[in-house]
Amino acid sequence: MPQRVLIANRGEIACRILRTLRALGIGSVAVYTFEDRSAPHVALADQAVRLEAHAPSAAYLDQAQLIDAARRTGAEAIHPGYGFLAESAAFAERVAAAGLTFIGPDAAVIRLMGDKIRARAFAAEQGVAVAPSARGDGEPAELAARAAAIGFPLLVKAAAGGGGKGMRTVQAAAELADALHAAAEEAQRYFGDARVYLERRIETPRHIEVQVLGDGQGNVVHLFERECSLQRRYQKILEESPAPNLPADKRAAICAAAVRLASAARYRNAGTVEFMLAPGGEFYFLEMNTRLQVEHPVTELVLDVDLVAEQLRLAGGAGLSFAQEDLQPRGHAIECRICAEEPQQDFRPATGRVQVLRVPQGPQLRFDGGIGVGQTVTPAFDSLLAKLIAHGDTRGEAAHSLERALRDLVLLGVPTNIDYLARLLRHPQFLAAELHTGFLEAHAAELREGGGGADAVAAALVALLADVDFRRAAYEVPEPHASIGEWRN
Amino acid sequence: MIRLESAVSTSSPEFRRRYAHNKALAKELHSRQQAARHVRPARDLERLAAQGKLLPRERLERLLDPATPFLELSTLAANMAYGGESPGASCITGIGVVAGREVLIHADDPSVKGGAWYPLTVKKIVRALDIAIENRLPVVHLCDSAGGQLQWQSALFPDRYMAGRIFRNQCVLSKMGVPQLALVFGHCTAGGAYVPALSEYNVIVRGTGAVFLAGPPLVKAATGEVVSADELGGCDLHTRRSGTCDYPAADEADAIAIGRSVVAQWQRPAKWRTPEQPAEDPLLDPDELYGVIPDDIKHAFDMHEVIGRIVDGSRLHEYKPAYGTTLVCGFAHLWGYRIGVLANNGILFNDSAIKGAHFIELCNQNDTPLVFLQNITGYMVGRDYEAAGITKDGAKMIMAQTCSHVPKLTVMCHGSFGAGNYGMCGRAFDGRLLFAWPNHQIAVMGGEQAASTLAEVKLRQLERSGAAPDPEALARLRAATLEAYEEQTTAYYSTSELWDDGILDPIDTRTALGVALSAALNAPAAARGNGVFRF
Amino acid sequence: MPYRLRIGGRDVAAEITARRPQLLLRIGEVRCALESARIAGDEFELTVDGVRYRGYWCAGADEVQVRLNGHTYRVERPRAALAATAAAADEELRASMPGVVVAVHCAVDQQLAAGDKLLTLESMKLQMTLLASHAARVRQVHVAPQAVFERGALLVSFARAGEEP
Repeated sequence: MPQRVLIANRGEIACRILRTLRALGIGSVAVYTFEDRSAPHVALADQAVRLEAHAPSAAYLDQAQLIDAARRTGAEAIHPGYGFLAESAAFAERVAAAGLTFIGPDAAVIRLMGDKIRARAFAAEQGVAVAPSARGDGEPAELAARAAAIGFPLLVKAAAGGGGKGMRTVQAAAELADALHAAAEEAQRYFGDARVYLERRIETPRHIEVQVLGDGQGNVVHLFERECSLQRRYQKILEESPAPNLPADKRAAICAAAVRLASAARYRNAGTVEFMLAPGGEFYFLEMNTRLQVEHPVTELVLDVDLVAEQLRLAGGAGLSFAQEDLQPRGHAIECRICAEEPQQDFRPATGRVQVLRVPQGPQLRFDGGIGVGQTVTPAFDSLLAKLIAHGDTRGEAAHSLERALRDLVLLGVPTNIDYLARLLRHPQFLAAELHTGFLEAHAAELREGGGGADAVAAALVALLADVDFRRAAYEVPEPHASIGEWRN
Repeated sequence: MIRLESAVSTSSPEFRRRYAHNKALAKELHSRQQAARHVRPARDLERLAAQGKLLPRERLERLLDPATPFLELSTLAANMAYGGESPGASCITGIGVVAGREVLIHADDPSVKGGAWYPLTVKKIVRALDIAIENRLPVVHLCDSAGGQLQWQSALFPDRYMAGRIFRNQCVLSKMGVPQLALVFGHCTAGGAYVPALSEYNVIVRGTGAVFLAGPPLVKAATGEVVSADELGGCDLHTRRSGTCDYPAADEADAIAIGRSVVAQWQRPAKWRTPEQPAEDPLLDPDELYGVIPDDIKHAFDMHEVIGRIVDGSRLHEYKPAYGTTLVCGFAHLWGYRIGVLANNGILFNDSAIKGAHFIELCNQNDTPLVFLQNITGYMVGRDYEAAGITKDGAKMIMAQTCSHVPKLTVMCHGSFGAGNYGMCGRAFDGRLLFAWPNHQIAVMGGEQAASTLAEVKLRQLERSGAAPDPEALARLRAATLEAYEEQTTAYYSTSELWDDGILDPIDTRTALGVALSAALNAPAAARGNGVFRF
Repeated sequence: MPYRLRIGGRDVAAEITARRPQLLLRIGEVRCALESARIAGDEFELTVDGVRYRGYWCAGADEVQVRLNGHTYRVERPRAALAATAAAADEELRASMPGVVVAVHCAVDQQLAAGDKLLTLESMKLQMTLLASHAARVRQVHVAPQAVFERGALLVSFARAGEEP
């Protein structure tokens, strides 16, 4: 195992990785920009290196600076977290070329899975079903024919893409040309690669993904599945494990497909194979994410494993720590993503300064946060502030615990979606596990904030008491005027 | 202290008759006040609304702290002057609480002839600032006036206590260390420009506020320069260039909010006296005052009945109860403050006059504010009483009262005739505030008496010159005298001329005196000492 | 004078109606007695009509956020007009002291919002950037970078709101 690791990331994932490094007694190096100088991950690490850049997020993408920081601090390995350079094959190569260990798979596999068209072809070769799809280039007539073969509505997706960027839904043939153009332009902007492809659009699918660990020799274990169907604009909001109401044979098939794929790629380190489960029961390969995912904690709680620790071991050249039979999922875990946004303003990202933070504690409760009191939330970075995860013996218990914890959680100073998440966890259809990727849109009206709240009067009083003019008027009027009260002659 | 007990029978025909009479007087007072405060020509109200202005009373209510009392003074000033053109003498004055501080408020009323000042307007403002000086009350001016009423200039400009006195008083207040705030809502023209200029702090509303020594018409007449009010002396000129105004306000609500914030910065100096004990409502029913007060100026009533319906717990520690019984003297509490009460139960005799003088001395020794409840037709007259020194004894009471260092408050409960007015702290004697009841009458002597006296004098004149008395002429003289008296001795005439600080509904007396007393205690006591008593 | 609040998207007026023997208030249509209130740091405890409320709070520029019984309330208080300090419809920007133009940030016909940058000037070895005090359209920029100007020099002219170009 590497003895000193640099985390090329920030926020909650940097803190999460740091926790494992500390637990294992491994030295840690954090990197940060000026804006993040008071962030918790900086203080948690043994060493911290300041990055310079013209824009805050650019710093975390500056490969040369990151590698240089590792060299200067004696870090042997770099953990990329998720986002930023986590799926940059070029970065993985450069890290290796610098004599450092990249905690993740090989550059070649990153490159393979990063190109959605190649990845899908590879999956198909392994006998993993892919949704009917076609290339998005060529003559209009060919394109139209391919599109017709897939059927409408269909999706235009970016080959180098993810997270919903460079994606368009096409309802009818007439819209195809515009959608291709718009998607390609967005893909170029976000990924530097304008290639797009067409894919059949499945109605009300469920998003099921499988966590895998590989030793790079072709040995792969799966750590069962996660359900991530609750999304808004392709951003996951709430994830859970196991996927509810999933027949055992379906689970087995999906997990086996994931293992087959990862094994064929001689996958090393942690990865996630994402599938779409159609209402009819068919499942299709979506993509493979060659990194640790945001929602990995639900797997950790259900299987009592530390995925970051496994990543470190595998990066150090060790084999897999457990065999498939060793992994027995227990109970149910649910995670929700706490974001700086305003649900009643169409989830517009919000900014502010965290002024009050009280995190509920509990044996079955886990809070993965990256913010501290006094920290400013800016538009420079994405809006994910923290994750709250609950484990229970049953799904119902986990949902109840998580909802309770959300109500006990106090995060003030920047608007968040905490109350929205609590409403979601109380929603009857959620509790009945009637999940699909269109759930949040379909139930948007019911999930909207209700009336003023039963305690609106008390809240108004607090706001009034916070005002010095009101306090003076309420308490500093002398006698006899205070006793006389309102009087006119 | 003993609790006063009521000796009136509320079911007696006399009580009922008096009750109906005084209740009607109170109702008349309220409706006349209501009219003076609110009835305005629609044209004037529309003009103000078109200018985006609040009414002066709306400004006032926003300025005052919520759920606090406001003691308005001289609501009916000028009610019998200028043909009724100037209700309230075109301004509002009173004592209220702003940001927890007692302040005196003076507000121009632009809904009356643009807020132009009549002679009685000037008198009312001077009086208000005199009250501020004597009681060390900070002042908030709400300025919005077209300037002096030119047709009345000789009665409001040249003399010592006319318009200049306003600005002199402002300077004296400032020298005393008592701050003033002016909120400029409209025009402050000519002398009026000095109100904000002589205030320590001022706020000006953009667009409608303006301060200039001469307005656009005068400027054009004087130099030919054509300029708008805003260009000549508006918000931006005075807050950015000249520095005459301190705080620009976007609108009237903003100006008031800034004003409250300014008042909140002022120190609250310790008061000369604080309440000694918690306040306690009178045990006797104040509503019964209507039945206690007679319906005839010549009829008497027992002041114990009045005292018991004003003071805390209806408790009175009566001083020398068996001596000089036509003057009730005693200690009581009002809203928790100790006071010394002097109240007339008949005419003043030698014994009541010297008891009064002695009790006033006790109150001064004891640092106890004095409250005078007047119902006095005069001192006893006649040879025996002169021989016994009634004039000397009356003089001693006047000397003691005048030389008091404690604050004095007066309520004219019924008649106030002749020299009795003096001993009982009438207007000339620097009481901090003086109020009247609607049934009050004031004159050098009663109307009948005056008519008879004048007729008698005329008769003697004719006898000396040997002419024959003309009964008709004499009757006409009597009638004319009586008529003049009837007009000029009423509470409404008195309040119109600002001989008092306002008419009170009797039932409001307790609270009005409480607010007045609290305000009065902002000033430290004057120097102790008496002149020479003629013994 | 009522206090105006905005809570849950609704405008609510609040008023103190009495102070003795209890502090009585009217919040919107509801009358209540505030029997005790303790606000310390970021926590509060109130007793209203005999019911105790405990929670957390913080204040922002225009609003107070309250966390109470598992719900976050955002209570907005409209602020007094700050625009009062800016002169309405300033048509000219003149130099308040001599100096040199370092940079011009605005252009002719540009529609400015309050706070937009106009010019960066240097005087007495101090650089300052002048901002638009209110929304306006630039009619003309009278200086260019490196221009030297005297006190009172006309720097930028604006069109009055509603004026034709």
